[in-house]
Amino acid sequence: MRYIEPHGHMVSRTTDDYTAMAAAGCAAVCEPAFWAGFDRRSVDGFYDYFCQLTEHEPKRAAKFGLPHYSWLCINPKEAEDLKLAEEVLSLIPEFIDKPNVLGIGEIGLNKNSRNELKVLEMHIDLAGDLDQLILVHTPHLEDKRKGTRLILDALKNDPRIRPERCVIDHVEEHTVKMVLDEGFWAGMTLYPESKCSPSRAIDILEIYGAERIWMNSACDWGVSVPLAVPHAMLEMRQRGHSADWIDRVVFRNPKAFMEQSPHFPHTAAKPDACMLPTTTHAHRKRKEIYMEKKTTKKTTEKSGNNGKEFDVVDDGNGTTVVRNGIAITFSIEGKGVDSAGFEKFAVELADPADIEKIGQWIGKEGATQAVATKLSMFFWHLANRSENRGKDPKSWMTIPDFGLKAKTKTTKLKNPKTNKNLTAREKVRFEIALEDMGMTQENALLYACGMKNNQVGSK
Amino acid sequence: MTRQQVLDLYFLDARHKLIDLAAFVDRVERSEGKADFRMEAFYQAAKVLAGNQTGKAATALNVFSDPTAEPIEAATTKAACGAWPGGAKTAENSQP
Repeated sequence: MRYIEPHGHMVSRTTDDYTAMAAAGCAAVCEPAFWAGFDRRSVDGFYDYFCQLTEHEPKRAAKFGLPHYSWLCINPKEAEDLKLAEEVLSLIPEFIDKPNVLGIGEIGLNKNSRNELKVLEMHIDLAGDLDQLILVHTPHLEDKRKGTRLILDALKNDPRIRPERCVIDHVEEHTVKMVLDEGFWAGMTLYPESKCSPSRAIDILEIYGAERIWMNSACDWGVSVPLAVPHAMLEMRQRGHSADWIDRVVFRNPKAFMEQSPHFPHTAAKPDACMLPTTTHAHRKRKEIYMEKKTTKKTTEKSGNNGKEFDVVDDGNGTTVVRNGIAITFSIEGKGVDSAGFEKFAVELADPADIEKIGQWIGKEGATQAVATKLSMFFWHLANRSENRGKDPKSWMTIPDFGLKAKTKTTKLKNPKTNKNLTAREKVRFEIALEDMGMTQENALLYACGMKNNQVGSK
Repeated sequence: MTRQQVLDLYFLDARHKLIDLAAFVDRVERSEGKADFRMEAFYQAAKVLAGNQTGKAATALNVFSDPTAEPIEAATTKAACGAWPGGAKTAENSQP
């Protein structure tokens, strides 16, 4: 029977394992970034690791006919060093468009510390910015229940994150209900000594049903079994479950979740695609755009062009958007972008003249990198929305309100209760309350610090 | 599955695991050393088996779990040990 291994750390495994998995019916393997068993000494170690996950391991898997996908992050076990975490996160945009990358993961918590939580929130913020799927690692043993609760709260705190685009992995009997009840996907990891045994995982399926749930081996450098999923399939058959039900759990469910990434069906349809060299100009541009966006996030500029009309022209050399006689051409490495390929476009923003041009284009005197970046990120998000994929850009593009509203600098704000600077989570809550919920600054601060609910105090 | 089918499929395996646990407890009790919070939690979790409540696996897992809600200041280790160190203190305090 076919199955998908949705969580396997194949860089730790041998080619014998690939052979056994392929022979057992594995149709694809997905590899989240994880802790190497030792702390990496610099960001360069992560750069190499991300190259391994996105370039070298796919080639190794392809020799056994297995499409290989990956997830990127810094694991919570290395999250005490905030500076290193920030550096690693800044690498991710460069790799996120590689054709085998499914999203951000496995992020989460390990010992439930304050810095781990900060780094988790940074990852969530990045996933929100880049509109990525999220794969979450929940803590081990005695730390799991508390950590799972903290993780779900952190995810729910960001209004951009949709539960159906997040999988909470390593659930057990005491955490599965809270995960499913709140709309997230749940992953059960089959380990010989911890997490779930196949028997317990099947019990959970029988009790809670097969909706939004999958099982994986999470095979790595520790005690683990790469064939744990097919072993569980055998046990499901011993219990009398139908072939269709088993197929749903081990193949159709992970496929349904992963297909929310535009990369999954593309490379699944053409496994060789993941072997193509992919370090492109477009990737470098996306990283520059992202980094500039991060540094100009607190800009005080305003812009208001919401919903104004413009024309889209595709002349074969690029997709050109025209407004007020000024054109901006979107292209991938100098080649034209058709409607189907638009989701991968790059916006050429490196030249200051281009930025100025964008300012004129949106009807604003002068422009900054922040405006240009907002524009490019907005279009990128729109292009990647599932409802827009494959459609003519004319059908979904509108000039955005860039959201560059006057913002209060959150760096100087203090929690009224503790008189300490706001935490990362409180800053996010503050900005949401101020900008999206329309609260006054005073009420937004109280809301951010948990001293006021969201039903009172709006303007 | 009927109860008969469940027993036919799993009883010998469960019996084997139970005897293994009993031998483990014998081994611990035969050895010399101080009381350990992990065994405190272990004994509490073992009581769940003979209780009347449903969801015994979840209840046993909760016995071993950290019941607090706030993040800790900093992680001093990467590993989990299987039982919450504060659990033994709570158990002592909860005794009459």
